[in-house]
Amino acid sequence: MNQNDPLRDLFLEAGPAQAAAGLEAAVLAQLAMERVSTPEKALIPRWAWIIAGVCWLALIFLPHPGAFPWEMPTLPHVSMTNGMRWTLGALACGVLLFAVDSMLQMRATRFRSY
Amino acid sequence: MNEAEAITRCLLGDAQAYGWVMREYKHLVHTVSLRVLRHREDAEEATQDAFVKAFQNLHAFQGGSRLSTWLYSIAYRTAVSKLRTRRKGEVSPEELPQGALPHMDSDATEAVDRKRALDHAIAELPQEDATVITLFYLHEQSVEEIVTITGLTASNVKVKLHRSRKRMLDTLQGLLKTELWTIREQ
Repeated sequence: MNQNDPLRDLFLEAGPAQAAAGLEAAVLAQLAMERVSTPEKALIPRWAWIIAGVCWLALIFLPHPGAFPWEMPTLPHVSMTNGMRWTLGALACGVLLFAVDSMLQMRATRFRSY
Repeated sequence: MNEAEAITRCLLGDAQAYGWVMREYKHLVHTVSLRVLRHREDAEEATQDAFVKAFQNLHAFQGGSRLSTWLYSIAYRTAVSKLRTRRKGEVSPEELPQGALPHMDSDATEAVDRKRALDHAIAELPQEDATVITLFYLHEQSVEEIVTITGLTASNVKVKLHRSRKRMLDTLQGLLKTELWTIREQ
């Protein structure tokens, strides 16, 4: 089909059908509305809380199966200096903040402004 | 702003850049929807849905094809999906071109009359043929690109192009008495 095709000329002369005048605004409004109406998921999902709870209970009960919380056994004592405690605490906080930050970044939507 | 810049800015969340994309392609995307649905309001709705889907899936656009081809394929699939939904439910009558069928006389060479005649000839084609020939001529898509957009085979697209072209020329020849059609045999 060559460039001198009369149909091509007719199609190009007629041009496309005209879209609605407010299309852009309607699309942007719909995108904004869908973003607002999408409920944010919890940062830590329910299953993670359940696993954490089970692990916590296991830590309490496994050393003495059958024991109740109010009969909590003495946990093994680890001796450490004050400096070591602060270092470990700081490291733990750092790891925790890094993990939270990473999770938030992963969950952030790619398109923020419309 | 060029296309690549617009896409990059869209991916960074720039709504203005997406506005540019829509302004560039809205009429052509709407034409695809209209060819499939043949109903102005449904087509406007499908066009809007297509642009929303395109924005939400822009990260999936790899640049392997033209942005226009990618947008048309989304528009085509959205419109076909809407058409299927419509067929399951209430049947919407097909919209013929607005205005009466052009009554062509000897001076029927005005652009508006030619446009009406063209619209009428397109309306007489089956929906898929009308879409294929519009993509080919108006959207200047290659056969390969039409295959990508519609999911038809290349041979099927060629057959549809040939058949609908012949049919349209016959219709238009009856409507337009102009020398434009004498080059048909070339």
